[in-house]
Amino acid sequence: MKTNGKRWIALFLALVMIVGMTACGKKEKENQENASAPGGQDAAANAEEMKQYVYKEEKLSLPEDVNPETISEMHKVGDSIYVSGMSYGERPLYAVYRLAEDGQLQDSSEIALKENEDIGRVCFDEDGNLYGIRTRYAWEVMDEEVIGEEEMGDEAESMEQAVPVETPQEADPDTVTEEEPETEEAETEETEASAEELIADEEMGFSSDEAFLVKYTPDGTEQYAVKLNGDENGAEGGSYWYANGIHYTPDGIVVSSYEDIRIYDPETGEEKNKVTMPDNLTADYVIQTKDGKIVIGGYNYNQAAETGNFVFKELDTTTGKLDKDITLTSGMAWRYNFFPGANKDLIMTDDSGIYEADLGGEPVKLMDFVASDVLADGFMSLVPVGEGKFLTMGSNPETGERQLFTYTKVDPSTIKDKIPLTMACYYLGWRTKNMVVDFNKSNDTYRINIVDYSIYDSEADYNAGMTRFNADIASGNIPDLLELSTNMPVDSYMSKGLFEDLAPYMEKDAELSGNKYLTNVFDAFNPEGKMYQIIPSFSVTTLVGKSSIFGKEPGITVAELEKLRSEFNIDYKYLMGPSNREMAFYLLLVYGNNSFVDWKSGKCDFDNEEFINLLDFIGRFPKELNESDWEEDTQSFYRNGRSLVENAYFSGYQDYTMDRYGTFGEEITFVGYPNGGKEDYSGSLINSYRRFAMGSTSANKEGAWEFLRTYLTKDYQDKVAEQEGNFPVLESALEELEKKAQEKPYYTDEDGKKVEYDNTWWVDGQEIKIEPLSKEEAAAFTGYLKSLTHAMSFDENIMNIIQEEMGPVLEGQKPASEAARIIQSRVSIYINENS
Amino acid sequence: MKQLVIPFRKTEKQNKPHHADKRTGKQRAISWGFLAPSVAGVFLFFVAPFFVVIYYSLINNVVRREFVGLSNFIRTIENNAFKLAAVNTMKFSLIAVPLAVVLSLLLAIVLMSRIPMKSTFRSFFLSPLMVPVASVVLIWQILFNYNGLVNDIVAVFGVDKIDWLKSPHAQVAIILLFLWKNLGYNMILFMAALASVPQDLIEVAKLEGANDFQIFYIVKLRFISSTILFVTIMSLINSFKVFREIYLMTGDYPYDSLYMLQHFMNNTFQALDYQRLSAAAILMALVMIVIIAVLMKTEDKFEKDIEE
Repeated sequence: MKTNGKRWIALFLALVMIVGMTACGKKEKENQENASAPGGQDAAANAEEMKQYVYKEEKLSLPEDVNPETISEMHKVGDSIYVSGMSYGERPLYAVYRLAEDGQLQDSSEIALKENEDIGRVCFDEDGNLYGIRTRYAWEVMDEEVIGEEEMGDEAESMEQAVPVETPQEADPDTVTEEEPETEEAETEETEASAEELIADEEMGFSSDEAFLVKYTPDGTEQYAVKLNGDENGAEGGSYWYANGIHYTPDGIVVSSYEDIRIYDPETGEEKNKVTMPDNLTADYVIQTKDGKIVIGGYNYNQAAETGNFVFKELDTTTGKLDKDITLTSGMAWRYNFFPGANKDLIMTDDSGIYEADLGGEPVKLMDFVASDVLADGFMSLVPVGEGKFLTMGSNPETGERQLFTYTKVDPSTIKDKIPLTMACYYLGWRTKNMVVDFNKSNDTYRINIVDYSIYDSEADYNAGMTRFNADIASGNIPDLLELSTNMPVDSYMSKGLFEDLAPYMEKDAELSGNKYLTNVFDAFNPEGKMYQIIPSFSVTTLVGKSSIFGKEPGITVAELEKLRSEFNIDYKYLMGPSNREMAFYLLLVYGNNSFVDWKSGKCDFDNEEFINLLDFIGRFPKELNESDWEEDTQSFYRNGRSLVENAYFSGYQDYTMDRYGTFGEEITFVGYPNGGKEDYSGSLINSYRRFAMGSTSANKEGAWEFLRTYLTKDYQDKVAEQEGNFPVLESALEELEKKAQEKPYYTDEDGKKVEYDNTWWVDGQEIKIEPLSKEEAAAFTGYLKSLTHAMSFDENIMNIIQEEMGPVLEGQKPASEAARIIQSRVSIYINENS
Repeated sequence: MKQLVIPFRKTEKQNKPHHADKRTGKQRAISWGFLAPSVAGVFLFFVAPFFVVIYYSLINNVVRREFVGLSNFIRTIENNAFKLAAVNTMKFSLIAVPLAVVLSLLLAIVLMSRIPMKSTFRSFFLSPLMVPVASVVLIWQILFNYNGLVNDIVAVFGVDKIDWLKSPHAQVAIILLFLWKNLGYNMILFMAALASVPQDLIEVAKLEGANDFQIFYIVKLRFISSTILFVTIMSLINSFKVFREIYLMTGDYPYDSLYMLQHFMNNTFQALDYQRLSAAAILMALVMIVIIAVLMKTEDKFEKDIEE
């Protein structure tokens, strides 16, 4: 019996183990099936899932009485929605509109304010009373004697001797008399005269703003105004006190600033409690949950430990204590804007959608902007108005005007099926989102769903998103489309065959094949003969100097730069504009490492005189710059010869014009970063921060190409300069910019007439007119752009090795030649491994 | 006619009754039943990954999965970083492993003899086993730093300062670290093996007029040959594990004399180059198989002597 019992127990345990392993295997099998699904990320399932997050956007037609320009705040109390904001007409007013959930105006009021007043943050109670922070602005001018004798920062003594500017006489805002407009004009003239005197005499002063907690009844009658800042109540230097939040709770009005939290009695305005912010708590966020709880917190940086974390605490509104620690979502708190929730404590928005979560809980997605074809980047205000419906305040993307929008959940079964394409990115850019939304709206066959890996980043691991992306790639989960970012090992991906060669697609495309592109830009980012990356636009980074000093040909070595520096007696700290050692390292090594590393041949050459000279050269820069080094007009140094070269960034012809006629005032040469004497490398670098690729295993390559090609069409390229602020890669678009650079800038007036104006530049207190480029200059700059061959390549591993070995050299513990030898050894290994 | 009765001798199997066969089969089935989870685990975590590695080494990448024959192996063998790593690993093992075996054997012999404070010395040599790796690494970095104690000592002899861990002499520092860490454990194994040599054989050898060296070489060495094999294999394995200390001291990309095979494999893993990683792992496994086969053959030869 005993033996049998043992046998049965042993058999049972064995069965448990077998069953457990069988279940694991099944899930593994499912994962493998999903991993091998076309488009990666199980595109079909993803597309079905995205239907759950589709909301329909509708612009809310505001009642005629409501001026959209006045709206800056939106709050929901009970069934009422209050929208309010400042209006600056003949006199400042604070307008309050009460709307029903369907947007119908219920009632409104206007609060008249004085000339120098405004109302910022507000909140409302159940009876419609408004509680707000009213600020009265004032400027006090300091006595001339005081300016001569006192240090600028000594405000306390300055205040005693300050000569206050005559402020407009306070009038009862509710009493409007016929004389008042004249008084206002007179006062305005006085104020303007005072302001002119101030400007003319360059008198110094400081703000002495006053902040008040105010309560107004629904008809706009003031109940009380309690001073919030000043000697007794405010922070030191009280006029700088700033309220970053005001919330109504049944226990009191909570007014928060970076220094303290105060709770006031709603009826009387009497201060009930005051809490000084503890050292490890910042009030970056003041959040109210659906139940009225107040949570305060932000990023707490520990300077000694050089690290930080998010800290949140719940405010006990009865006692005013900040003792209870709160975990505010498991993700990155800084990602979201928080609002009181409906079903859960909070509703949050980020640049990808709307979520809800309980305090400390996981965010649950409610709406996806891209899936809903909505161009939104989060909302200033958001209130839930029933199940599956939100009212938000944002800006009209075309006009920039404030606009209210409603978002209503769409029944997933009514959404038309399209072939899903998956696009992977790391931090979705606004322009990419724009393009995807446009594509989804206009294309009847394909629909792009975005997977943003940055959502996996957390405070514990800032690179979790990239790690997961790499793991997905390694397991074969390649998306149809990728937006490439600088922290992705793109070269590694290309060498592994992860990307589709788009050159054949370009050749077959009827429109694109007929266009001329700057192929030097494509070649800089792609292996020879292949096109794995689409480059929609680019910019240029280089060192620039006077042609009279450097000659007309680009390229320079460290020895030549040092010779010129010595010849013109330039201080190291101003050689490339104000630069300390770290800045010199970045400019000369991070940007200039191309001259020492040749990935195509798999070789590096650090163990040479040029590199040793460079290390010594960088070591001669000062470790730190003093404040006094920045006090002069350093922009004028290039003109007057105190700086030899400028680290220039060109993203348009205007940048070149300003450099040529403004910064230097004479003909300039694109000197480039030290190139080690290599003739095939000018030292100038092409940048492109937005690049795209197609996954080589995509099952919908035609659809993916339909999207990618839009970046190279004439329509898109013609707008690149305006929308992206970079150079287009289409030659005809570049030529248009070349022509424009030869014309004066202009604006269109109210009558539709073109009005030209001159660009100006200030040097040593003098205004200089900037002429447009001549035809030859514009053509020469275009030729320069077409001659560029090297792309910016920042390899973190190489830079880390160089920085590590440079440390002892800069401390004088080791000769540069020794460091160069070690760097050569270590970097060679790295390059050999990866070639 | 008398019938001839030829006695028929049943085999052991035939001697068994039929129900005994059934019981043996049943026992075997039960045994396999209990072994099944362990076997499944070994298969899942050791055997299957082994075949996955072989598969990865024969395809071009995890995305396209096209069979490319031995091109990954050729690419790996031709890679300069792999060649450097292989040479360094072999050099280190060829120096460190024999030293670890010989020195620990010598130490065991010394500690088996009549010397004062034997147990103190034993504890002294065993104590490195207890020290955490991170502490060892920190101490070694300080000792062999450009401004460290070792340079202060060599300066007394007129030698210029050397950045030990970033010079062609870097392996010296690592070999010292390896020996310091492993001698104690090997020494204990040898002491146990020496203690198990039959005393009567030694006495007989002495009576036959053998000297200490002959006793050691002819008697003791043969008896402890299996321990020598074991210690050699363990030391060989530990010589690969020294990557951990090198990595902690010098990072992903050390000076070229410290660049080992594990660095190559670690870095190719991080770069998602699983094909090259798999090929390198298989090549290394093949070399290890050859080495261990040679060692076992040698040990077999010694063991036969003993049996005879």
